Amino acid sequence: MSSTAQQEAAIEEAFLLAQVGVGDYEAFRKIYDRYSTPLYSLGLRMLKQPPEAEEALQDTFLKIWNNAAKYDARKSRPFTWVVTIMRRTCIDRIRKMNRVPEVVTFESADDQDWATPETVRQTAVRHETIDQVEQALKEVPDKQKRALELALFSGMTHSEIAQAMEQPLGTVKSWLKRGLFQLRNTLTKPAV
Amino acid sequence: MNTNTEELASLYVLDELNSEERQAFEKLLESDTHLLLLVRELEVTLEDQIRNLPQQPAPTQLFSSIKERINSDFTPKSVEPVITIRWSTFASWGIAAALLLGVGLTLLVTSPESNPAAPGHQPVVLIVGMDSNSAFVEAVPTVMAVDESENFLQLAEMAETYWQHPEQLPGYINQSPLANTLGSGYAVFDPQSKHGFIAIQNLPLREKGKNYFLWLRDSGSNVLECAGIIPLQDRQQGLYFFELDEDSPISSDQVAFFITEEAAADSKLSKPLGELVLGSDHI
Repeated sequence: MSSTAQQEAAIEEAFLLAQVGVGDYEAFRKIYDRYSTPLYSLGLRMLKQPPEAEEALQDTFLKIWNNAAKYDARKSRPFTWVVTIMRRTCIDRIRKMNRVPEVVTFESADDQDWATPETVRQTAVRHETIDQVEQALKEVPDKQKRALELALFSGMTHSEIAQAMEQPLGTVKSWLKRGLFQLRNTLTKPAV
Repeated sequence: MNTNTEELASLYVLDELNSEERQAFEKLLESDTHLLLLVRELEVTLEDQIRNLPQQPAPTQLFSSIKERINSDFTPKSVEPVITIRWSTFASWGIAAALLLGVGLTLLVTSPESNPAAPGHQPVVLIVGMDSNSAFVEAVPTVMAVDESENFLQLAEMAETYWQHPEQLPGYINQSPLANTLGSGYAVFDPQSKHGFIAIQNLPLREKGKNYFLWLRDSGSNVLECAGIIPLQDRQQGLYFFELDEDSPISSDQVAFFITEEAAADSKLSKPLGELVLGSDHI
């Protein structure tokens, strides 16, 4: 998706969240239609088990319904806000299950063949984006990438990541920053 | 920007800050546009990572289950008119977009789904200038989108453009700069969709327990309507979105906007009782 399209989508979604905040079911349905697939996919990545991911998704949308009025666009983009709710919900479930957070990777994305109903154009655009993201990931040094994977998908805090990677906390924080900046720089680099 | 701030920005978007650190960082964000721009870019980067996961649609019955859970635990939400969005945030997104794309912000784009004009009636958007004791309305012929989200975006772009370039405000408003120390503002309102934005600046600080109410009076029908309480908190300025009910009788192209200070805490007030602080109830 282009930057302009992403900005417009974000503004529309903030508007929909404001509508949800005053009890608008139709806006809630639209938010569900836009976000349920990426959130469920994130849940599957973090929790591994479809029933757990379904429960987490339900809980997340209930939280969105109950808290949409509190969404503050100064603090985050709408998608970041809902992803944060989903990740925290998944992390709670991981801890309740008393499960040791697992190492999950960006690369394992290729291992599964999950069908998504998309138009040909959407598929092409998504593949183009995926190619760009994968290319960008290839440019991130391994340790930084691993730290990012753990932070995003395992539910570990940065202290836990430092422990798991047997590195000082400061080093891990620096890796997270450098990895993220590397991705940002590659993804926003104009095409040649 | 130093490395430490960049590190904090990364940990912020990764949700790795504790609540104290998060609050402190959010305070920084309010005053630093460059930092906000960086955070927005990092958020988009993370968004790409999440969307890059293999996409698996949620099971089809899931929405019904969520709806059932909502209904079983249903507490009606307030459907009173409330001003719901603090616009200044979106203004920042606009700045971010403009910086990223290297282009200026543009005004309206006519949508193919735009509402055709009724015979003999040219659709307009009202641009209202306000100071501490007067208001000025200009009806600008504009084709607005019917689609709710698109209509919102069009109005948002207008409001944002005026926020960034108050010198582009038409007519009287040009001579009434926003820096007026007694309070000033402007509104952009689409009488068809009943959506609008209001910008205010330098309002006097409210007395404790009092609220600023936004009122609209249709000069054609003389109908008065409360558009909601402006959630100023401890600020003296901001740009806010508001909407009236679809069946609101406010529909002409001569609408007065004004703000009063009221002791009430909800928007059920049927008429203003407090002091006028901005605009005028007649035009």
